[in-house]
Amino acid sequence: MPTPVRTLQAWSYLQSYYDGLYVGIDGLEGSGRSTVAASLQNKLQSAGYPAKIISPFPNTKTHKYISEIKHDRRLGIKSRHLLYASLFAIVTEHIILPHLAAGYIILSDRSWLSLYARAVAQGLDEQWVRTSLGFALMPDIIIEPQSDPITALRRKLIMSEALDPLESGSDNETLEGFIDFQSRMGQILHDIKPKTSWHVINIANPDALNHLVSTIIGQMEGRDVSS
Amino acid sequence: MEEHYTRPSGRLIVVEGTDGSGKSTAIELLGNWLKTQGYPVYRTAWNSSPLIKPLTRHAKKQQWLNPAAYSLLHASDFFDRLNRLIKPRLHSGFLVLADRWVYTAWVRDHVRGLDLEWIKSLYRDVPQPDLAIYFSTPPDVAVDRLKHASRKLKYYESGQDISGLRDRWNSFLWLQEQMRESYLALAEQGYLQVLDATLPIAEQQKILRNQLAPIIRDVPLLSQFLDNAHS
Repeated sequence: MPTPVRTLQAWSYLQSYYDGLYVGIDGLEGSGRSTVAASLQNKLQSAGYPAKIISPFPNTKTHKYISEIKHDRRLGIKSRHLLYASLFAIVTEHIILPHLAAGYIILSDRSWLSLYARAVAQGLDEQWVRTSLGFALMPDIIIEPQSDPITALRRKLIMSEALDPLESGSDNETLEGFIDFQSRMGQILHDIKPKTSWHVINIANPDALNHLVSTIIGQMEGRDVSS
Repeated sequence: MEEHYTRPSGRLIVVEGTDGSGKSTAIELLGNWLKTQGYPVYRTAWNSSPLIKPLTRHAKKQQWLNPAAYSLLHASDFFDRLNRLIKPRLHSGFLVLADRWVYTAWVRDHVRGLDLEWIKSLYRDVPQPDLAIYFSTPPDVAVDRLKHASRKLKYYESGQDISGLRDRWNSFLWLQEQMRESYLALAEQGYLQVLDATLPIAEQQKILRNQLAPIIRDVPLLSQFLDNAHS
């Protein structure tokens, strides 16, 4: 992942110090991100830590507008990416940063890294995409539910009626399109791994989840717990 | 910014300036004049994408937009218009008249505290205008014009999101003063040509039309370009 042309210091007063922990849950469509987020929230709250699940989109009053634009096929990939980046900037200021400042563990069901991977997989220039997201905080920990495009596809088809063309990287909701696009996204996420605190987790294994909870709590308490 | 890469047959004419500088009136008059002469003309305004504008309007009303979100949403609007509406016309021989171009983002977002290099890199690879005019007006003159027209100012338009001023007109005046400095700096760097927008409108048109004449000389008229399409 390239370095942005300039990183925006949009919220330096909040970025310089916060008590909370920013956890990104990134991975393929249908990899089980929401399941991981919900389990982690449960376990962390049981242990006495405030945890909040957020998505990259403000989903209350803007929902009507966003879903209309999102499914408008006239909207090009560059404009679409900038729209998502803008919404993520709103979420960052109004939800993520205040909660971090208040000592929450933020479980981001997709962090900006997923927005980055998607835009690059769609063919936008990686340096440009990285720069456009130059305002975003790097998560303290990133969790990737272990998956492969075929398993992700199966989960997706259990949960929803049809594949979303936006997740297939083309105008056709085809099987090949979905698998090909998710594979590209997977490769892009894979390339980011060495630069971050990245944990791949097998969601079927309860021990793995418990270990992750210890890691998160360890970081919250300022201890250095290796994964 | 890059030159039009396929040597487009159209031309891009841009007007920039503060609200109340008279640029919109000027571009309307220019557009009508060019149409009367038989040119294919297309007008586009800042923040007018039919896909993005409804959301922008809503987000502004809710006062949700921090400077980064504000900048990115306007960029989304710009690239939607650029790729779907403007580029196809530039490359097929239209005279595109743009009421504000990337310079508005450079100036506004920079005044909102964002790094100028960051803003410029967001808008890289955008066609360079064949003519870009800055309508230079002292901010108090622009304010008087808007007040005279009974215009009501909005929260972001008046810069209240960054000025911390409670009075909307005072905030607007402050914002315009900041922006004017940035615009004049861009003019000095050669991005914009300055037009004295306190001159009578007819006088301004005379100057603009003289500047346009050599630029549009080789652009085919509407009748020619439709005939040629079948040859």
